[in-house]
Amino acid sequence: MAAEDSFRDYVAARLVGLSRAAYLLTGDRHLAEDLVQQALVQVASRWEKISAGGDPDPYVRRVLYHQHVSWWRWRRLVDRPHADLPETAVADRGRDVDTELTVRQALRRLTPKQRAVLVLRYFEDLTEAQTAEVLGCSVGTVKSNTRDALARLRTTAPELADLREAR
Amino acid sequence: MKELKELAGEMTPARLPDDLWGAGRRLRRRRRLGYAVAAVLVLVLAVTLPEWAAHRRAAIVPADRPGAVPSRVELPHLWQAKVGQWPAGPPGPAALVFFTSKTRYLEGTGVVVGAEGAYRLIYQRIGEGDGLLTPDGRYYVGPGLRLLDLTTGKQRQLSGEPIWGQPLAFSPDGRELLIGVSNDDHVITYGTDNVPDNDPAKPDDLVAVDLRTGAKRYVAVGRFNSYTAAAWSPDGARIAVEGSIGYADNGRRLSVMDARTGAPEWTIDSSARDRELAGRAAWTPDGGLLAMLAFEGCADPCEPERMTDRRWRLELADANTGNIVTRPVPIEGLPDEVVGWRGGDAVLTYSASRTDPEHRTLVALRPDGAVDTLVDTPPGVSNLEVPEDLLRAGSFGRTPPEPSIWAAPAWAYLLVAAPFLVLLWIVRRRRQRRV
Repeated sequence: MAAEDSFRDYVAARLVGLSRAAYLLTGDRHLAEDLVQQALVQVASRWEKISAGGDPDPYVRRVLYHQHVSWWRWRRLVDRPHADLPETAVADRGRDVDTELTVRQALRRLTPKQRAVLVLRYFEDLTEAQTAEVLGCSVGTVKSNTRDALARLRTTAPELADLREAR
Repeated sequence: MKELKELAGEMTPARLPDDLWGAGRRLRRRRRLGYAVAAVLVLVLAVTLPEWAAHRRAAIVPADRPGAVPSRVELPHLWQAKVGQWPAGPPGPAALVFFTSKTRYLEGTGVVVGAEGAYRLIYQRIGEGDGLLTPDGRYYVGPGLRLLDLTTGKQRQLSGEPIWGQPLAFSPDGRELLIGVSNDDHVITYGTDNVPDNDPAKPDDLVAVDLRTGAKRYVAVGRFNSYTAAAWSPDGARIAVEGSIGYADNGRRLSVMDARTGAPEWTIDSSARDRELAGRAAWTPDGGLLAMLAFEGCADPCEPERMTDRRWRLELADANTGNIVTRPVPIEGLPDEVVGWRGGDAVLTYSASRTDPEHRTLVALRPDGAVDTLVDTPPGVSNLEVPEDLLRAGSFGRTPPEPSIWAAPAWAYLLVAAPFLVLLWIVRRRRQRRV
């Protein structure tokens, strides 16, 4: 029961961050939930081993991002229509609706791996080396994916000045 | 970066199922089960792959390898692949072929046993006669001169058009095949005994076909109603031929002729049916004598059950005159044909049991009448063939090979896999619905 309790504590602490990352990766609220659920089921199945290793975050992140870029998830992403966010949520927070729409649409035009690189680098604030470790690729691949993703964003959403500068 | 974080802020925490932990435990159990199944599969493959590889290597092993002929064969599995059927591949040069109806076709089927023990089927159309193996064991020559390459599984028509007739014997160099080509109409003619006859007005031809080019060479035209047996002399210069003559096939003719011109050296016509040319290997290896199979007992017409009561013997006739010159060798069982010679012993296809004439074996007949079984078969085997090169120079008595359960056509694998695939599909669907 101790393992189950520690798992529940971890989920409670990290659910918001994982959900947001998943949302950025999928661009869809339902798919994001789906992604988080599947990743956490995977984590629960190995929780004893993961928690014994200290900080679970690296492993959980790896599961989440690998699930996202796997062909199965990619196919489901393509097959399923992307739900638009409810306008009320946007209006309540009083943000610039145009910019968010632009960001969402621009992200959709990236490949799953490019999107994963952007989220890890600019949302989770990981270094290139940490990003490479999570995605299981080389630092060079992270760099090239970042460069390609930003180049595509420059074309599709030139108004995203911050992202361009972040390069 | 600011835009990304603002966009992410729209996401409310994901709703999680109540039994998230339980789902993880179930996944863990499934994963462990998967590991166990995979371990079993690896173990099975580790045991069976060497056997499978041995079958694949069979294609490059020459048929005259010592010890290539097994002492016994088994009936093939119902799902056994045909020659050349993917993914089982060809059996390689044959150690032997036997014929049985105890296959999935429930009709006469050829079963090739490769030199390395691979079993493959040769489909025979309904009523189709048995074919021959070329002396090197590489080809199976089916009716109509269809050549099946046992090392590749490819089949081709030897000549431009099928030549229909009775394949009789290969020349000693293996280049030509003697065929009795039927000229009868397709309307059956009945004799006085109500048995279908060959029309004496349309005698058959004896043709030698070149196995490399398919060219036909007429050796004898119009001398027999039909040909029942032929044997090439060891030097390839002469041919001994036997067949029926006269109205209602009531006569029998034995003739030795020049292999090139067909000019007869001597001919014996007889109405007796109690002696016949022993078969395709009737010439003794020195070329001086001709083996004859003779019997005492019920002659034609004869009820089938009384035919098994015949007392058989092997006789040797002077190849220059046809006169019997040696003491007969008694044969205890029911001989079918002399197919070769080994160290002075005649090698015959043979049924040891009079009560079970369908139990066909290959035996060596000693001069005192004792038989040594070279190849035994299970019940239900009606005929068997061993390539001439192996009969002459190969070894017998190899450990009997078992037909491999893996030498199956693709549909058999699909049939086995289908329930698992359906189960997998159902499980995946249920999992998707649950999540």
